[in-house]
Amino acid sequence: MAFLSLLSSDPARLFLVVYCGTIALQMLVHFRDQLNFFRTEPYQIYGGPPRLLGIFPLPHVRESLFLWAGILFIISLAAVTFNFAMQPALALAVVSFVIYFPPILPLAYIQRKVNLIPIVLAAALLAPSDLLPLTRLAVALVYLSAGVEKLRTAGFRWADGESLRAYLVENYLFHSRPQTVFLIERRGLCTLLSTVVLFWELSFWLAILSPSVALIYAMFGLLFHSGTSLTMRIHYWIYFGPAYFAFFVPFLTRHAS
Amino acid sequence: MFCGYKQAQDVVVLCLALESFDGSLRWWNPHFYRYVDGISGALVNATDEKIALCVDQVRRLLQLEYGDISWCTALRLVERRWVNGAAQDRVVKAFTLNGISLAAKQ
Repeated sequence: MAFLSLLSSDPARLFLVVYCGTIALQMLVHFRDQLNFFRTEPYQIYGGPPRLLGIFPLPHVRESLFLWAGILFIISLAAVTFNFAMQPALALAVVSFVIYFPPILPLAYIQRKVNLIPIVLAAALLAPSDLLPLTRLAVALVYLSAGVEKLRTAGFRWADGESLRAYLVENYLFHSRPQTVFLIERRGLCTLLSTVVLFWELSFWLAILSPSVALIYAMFGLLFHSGTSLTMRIHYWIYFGPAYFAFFVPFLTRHAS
Repeated sequence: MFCGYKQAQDVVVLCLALESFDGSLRWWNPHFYRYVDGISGALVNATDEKIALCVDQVRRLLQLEYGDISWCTALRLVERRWVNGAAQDRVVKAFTLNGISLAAKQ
């Protein structure tokens, strides 16, 4: 009942519940895998974690601290989900994030894909009433910067499909997935997908302006990330995907009320 | 995401293959698969000392994943390209795993 009342009364709170609940579930599902990765001592191959905000060096994290940070992160996200000690739980989640994730950043589904988590949690902590627009803005900036970077490096030539094919080839040479070859062999489809992706990235900011447009952009985003997951083993949906709820929640609340 | 511009025929990746006693090869495809490009990239123009460190890391990771790795005698650095619609492989270097000695085949 409480969840149903949230559906119609407080979209930002509903988003936070679903977002933190989903991230907590993802943590539970992947916790053992991440601990196993930590135990392979990735710093021996990739070096230590980057500096926090490019300024503050992070300490070497022992396994016990890594475990505790992970457990505290899950507990604090669960506390936010169930509306228990909301503000301290959000603060604790941010702190435990900073300890837990840097040692395992080279893990394929962590690298860059977790960057939105502290931004969303900090926005929920410092500007709860603006949480939804701030999250949408953060997502839009991710795509806009990706689109602008493509234009900066290659101009509109990026949309000719050759570059997408090259990335697919690169991935195939590592992982030999048959579904990747399916796309590589279809130049026309690669050109179409490149054009659509570039347009989608550059115009994603339109999703901030209108909920109905947002729904279309978010649906395409889910398709896009499913495609990269299937053909390139790039799994954005695990930790980046939950931010998409910021686009779906207004739609849900409008229909519930 | 995929921001650079490149063409399929220019793509070269480096993979690692594991060689058994009988000379058979299999790709090293660890659960944490990014280790392959991390280590193979480091092996390309590495000094002997750096190569020994990399080989040690591979041996450590193989032991963590498989336990007993006595079946694996050598490691081959393989260059893979996409030529005429198929993957083509060329062994760049080979390293023995049971020691720090290495045999380079250019």
